[in-house]
Amino acid sequence: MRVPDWEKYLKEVLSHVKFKYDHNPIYVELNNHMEDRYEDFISNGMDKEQGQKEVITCMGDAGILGEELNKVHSPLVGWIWLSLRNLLIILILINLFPVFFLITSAFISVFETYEDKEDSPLVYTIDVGYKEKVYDTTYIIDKILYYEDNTMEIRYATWTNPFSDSIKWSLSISPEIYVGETQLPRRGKGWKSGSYYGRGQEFREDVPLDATKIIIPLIYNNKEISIDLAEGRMMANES
Amino acid sequence: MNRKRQILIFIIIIPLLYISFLRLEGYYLTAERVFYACEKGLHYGPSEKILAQYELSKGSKLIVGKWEGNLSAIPVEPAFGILWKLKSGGVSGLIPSDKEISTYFVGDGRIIGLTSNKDVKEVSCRIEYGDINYPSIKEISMLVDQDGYFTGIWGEQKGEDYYEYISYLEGKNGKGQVIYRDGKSSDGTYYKDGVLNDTEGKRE
Repeated sequence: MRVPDWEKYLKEVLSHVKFKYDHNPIYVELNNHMEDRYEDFISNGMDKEQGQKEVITCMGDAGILGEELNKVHSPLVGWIWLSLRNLLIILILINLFPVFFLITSAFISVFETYEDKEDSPLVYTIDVGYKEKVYDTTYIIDKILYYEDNTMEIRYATWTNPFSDSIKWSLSISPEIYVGETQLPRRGKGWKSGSYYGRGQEFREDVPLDATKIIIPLIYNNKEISIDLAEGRMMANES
Repeated sequence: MNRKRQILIFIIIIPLLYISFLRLEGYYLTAERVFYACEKGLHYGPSEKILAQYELSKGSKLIVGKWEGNLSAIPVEPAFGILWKLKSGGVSGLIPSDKEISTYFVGDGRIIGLTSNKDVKEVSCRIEYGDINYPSIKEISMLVDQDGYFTGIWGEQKGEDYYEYISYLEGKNGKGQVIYRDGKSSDGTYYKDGVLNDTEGKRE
């Protein structure tokens, strides 16, 4: 409802509110309030023209109301609030993609399964369950599987805190397999997924049944993971 | 909720979102922070000392550090005018210095190196480059600083030839005497990490 006198009154009120960003919501709120009062007057039997004038009288002096509103809608607080709110929106928007990527990659990694080697029967498995933390990454050696075609499989995972201050890489392991003190040649293949949480498999070929240990050097560190292959074997034909 | 309370909440949330963005997207406030973060991500370091920083193209730079007698070379580039991130296109990372004098090509025609021999004050290299079958030769001398570090610009590869190889290297002491050799010298003698190969391992 647009009434010329009301428009003049509201313009006068808003001229005292220095934070211009709030002019529109103040205008809408006051105008609604005036319409409500007007409806009350009309329903009480007042005629339209008198009702419109009475509304302005009830609202009080435009200057006093404007000054009061200016105190509530302080331009300093207003500008700080507006700037921070816009900054927050920008930050939420620019976080959307990395957070989405983080959630989807975590989701995929958690439900990712190891590839089963089906071209050769299993001879034995060792449930390792060993964890070693290097800087902000935890290496988890899950399981070792040995197959009749002399392939040894190492199943592992890595976990890196996504909010740590390092640059994230998807680091794989490079196991060294020994018979006694003799290191076997590195033949085989492997894969590794994910930079925050990821699983990996390493397949080493031509590994004899009597291989005694696996050493997993953790790059550039003096640390290494040593796994005794003689312990904890679960023979496939026994299970 | 009044605005003052909202401002307080914004002030708490904004830094968290800012840090979250930096951490998840790999942005840092300084080039050095990128360098150390990359080292941490590759599971070595932090470098005891940043030895040098070299300007690369478009404001990016190569930072070279020293960690446990090895070199660490990481390229970084500016982002959004105020932040830094890892430069795309590969990272040298840790350069193991397994010889008494070790050298490494870091691109843009630059060679960097480190010596563990305190007496070596100057290093000269003969570099083969271009066509692997008919290589061009370039020689370069570099002064060694108090950290054992040396660097030099030897030139740039042209066309599609990417072959570059240090065929011979000499380390000289403060008097200019050669005290270390590696590779094939101009008279055809082979040296391996300072040892004359035909001396049955006897050091020069």
